Amino acid sequence: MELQEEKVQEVMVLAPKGRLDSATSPLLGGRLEVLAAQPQARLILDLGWVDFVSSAGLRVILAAAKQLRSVSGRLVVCSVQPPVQEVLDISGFTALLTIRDGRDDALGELAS
Amino acid sequence: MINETDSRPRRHSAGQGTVAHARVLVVDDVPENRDLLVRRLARLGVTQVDEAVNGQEALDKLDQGRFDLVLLDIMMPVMTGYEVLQRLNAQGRMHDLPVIVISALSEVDDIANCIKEGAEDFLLKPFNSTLLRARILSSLEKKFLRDHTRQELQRKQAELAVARTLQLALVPPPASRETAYGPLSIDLVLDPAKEVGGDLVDHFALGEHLHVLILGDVSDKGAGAALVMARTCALFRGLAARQDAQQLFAAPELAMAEVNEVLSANNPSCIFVTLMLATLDVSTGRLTYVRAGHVPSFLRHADASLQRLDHAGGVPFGVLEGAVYTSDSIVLRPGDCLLSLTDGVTEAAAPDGTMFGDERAAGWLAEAMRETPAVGGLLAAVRAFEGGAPPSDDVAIMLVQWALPAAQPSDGPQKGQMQWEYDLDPRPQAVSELVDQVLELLPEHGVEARVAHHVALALDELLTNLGSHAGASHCRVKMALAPDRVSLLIEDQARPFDPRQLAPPDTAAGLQERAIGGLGVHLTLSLAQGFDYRSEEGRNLTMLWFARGACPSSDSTVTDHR
Repeated sequence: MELQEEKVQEVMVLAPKGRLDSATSPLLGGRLEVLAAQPQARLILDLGWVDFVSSAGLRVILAAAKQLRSVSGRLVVCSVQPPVQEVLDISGFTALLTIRDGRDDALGELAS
Repeated sequence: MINETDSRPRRHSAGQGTVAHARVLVVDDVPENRDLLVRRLARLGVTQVDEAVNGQEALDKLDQGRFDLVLLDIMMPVMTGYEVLQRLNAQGRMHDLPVIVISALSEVDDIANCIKEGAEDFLLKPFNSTLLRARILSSLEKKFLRDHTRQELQRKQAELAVARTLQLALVPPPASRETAYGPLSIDLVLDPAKEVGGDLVDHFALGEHLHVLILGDVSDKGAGAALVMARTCALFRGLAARQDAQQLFAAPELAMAEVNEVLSANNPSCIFVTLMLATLDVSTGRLTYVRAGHVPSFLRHADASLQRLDHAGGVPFGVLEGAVYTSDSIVLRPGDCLLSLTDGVTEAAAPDGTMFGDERAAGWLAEAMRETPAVGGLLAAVRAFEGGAPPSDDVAIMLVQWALPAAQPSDGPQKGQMQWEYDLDPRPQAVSELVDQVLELLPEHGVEARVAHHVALALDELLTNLGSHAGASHCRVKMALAPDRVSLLIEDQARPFDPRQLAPPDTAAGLQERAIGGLGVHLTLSLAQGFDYRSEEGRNLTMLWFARGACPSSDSTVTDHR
């Protein structure tokens, strides 16, 4: 997995590329933990290049969402691919997370 | 149609019309007495009179024809009147044959004995014409009243028997259908407490993938409830024939609202119907149900855990016009058993007042999954529980069962199968490499990308658990490819752990409450169509399979969110 980062104004956009499984998720998790520690941090997790998320990946996303809430930050997930959407649905994460279709929608969500 | 000529009420007034039809047998050994009685009868309008000179001849004539009244002398040669009564009693013929015994005043004890044997009245010789007239007419009138009542009862029973046959014919026969996951069977029974009742049970296929299940209870018993029951069934069948039937039943809350509108309008007697409507998508296993005030269905999983489908979806039919209904949904998997019933089962009472209850129903379900399940067995158990007393309530039961697949890849590749075998140390990196291989290999052999994804995800979850939590340093994975499924067998010698024993995560919890564990197992069990685990002699076997060409998830997953 590769992890691309981009800062759009005050929003950090994280775009992992590849699979989020037990081998690769700790890398994303470590980065999310650092970014989510900033007070009022605003993060976008762009999953447009991720076609596989196991429960290990779900755990780091859930941990980040919880951590952000404690610092009044926000997390928006976007560009979710069908196989990953299925996993989010089954695990109940679709209702738990803020999910937008594309990156622009996600930026709009955080700007509002 | 019932022939009404016989059922028309007879005139039972003591007038000429009644006695004109009467047939009377006069039994006396003295010709003058017989003549006198025949004349008196003729004067009353009774013209069909037969005569016998002793008891034996009287019995013969009674054997040959039907009589409405017998005037029977007691003291006769060959056979006395008392003996005639004893014989008739022994043959059980006294209940519909009025007998007036005739005797002298000196024979009061004989008269009393004859009354004990069932004679209806007596006349003293010499005859008093007023008493004779009164007693003959009174006996005939009573006879005709009894006949009339019996005929009415027979007519009603015949009508109800026809109604019962028709009501039971509303229940479709048990059915089974082939699905991508294996055979699905539906067994059902309806047993009204009286001839007809208000419970209803129905099921039908809708389109290619949907199967509709209906089970309900009208708030009353007997003929009125039966009409509402039939109407409710017909309303659902009517909806199923509409152009938009698929949409109505795919979201069963819509079908519920439609039927409720009809049943709630103009309902002066305030009859209501509790109901469970469920739609099963056999291509995904998803069961969407609405429960309107009805007993929650029992869902027993292959791992013996029990779940009640207790989402409250709205008020019973007939209570509220414009009522809104909501549905809930779950995914059924092979090995699951869904039992729906009416309170005629759970509230059936034993002679000591004990109720059959939810636990006995669930207990039967547990038994049924080991034996051959047939809902007739549960009905028999309920009726036996009532201890032979007349049934107190209607019973409707439906059992939906998805058979467990028989084939497992444990005994090497079968005909038409391909098999791969991997030995590995289940650390994250090795697991990741295996997932890479599987994601490449399966699509190369024609497996749909989604199914390959499910297999890879399950492997990732199970092997990660094995390496990280059970402390395994070695395991063997066999993957087999058959035309209809992909099967996995994982063999290890680590600490035994049956994933099905893990409590499922609360997927409806909010962010703060949401726990982190249990997700991987939940994903695996949700995605696989078959799962089994056993541990013996230090060797653990995890077996699972995935149907090709079907996925147990909702349609929303195919939407492209990019």
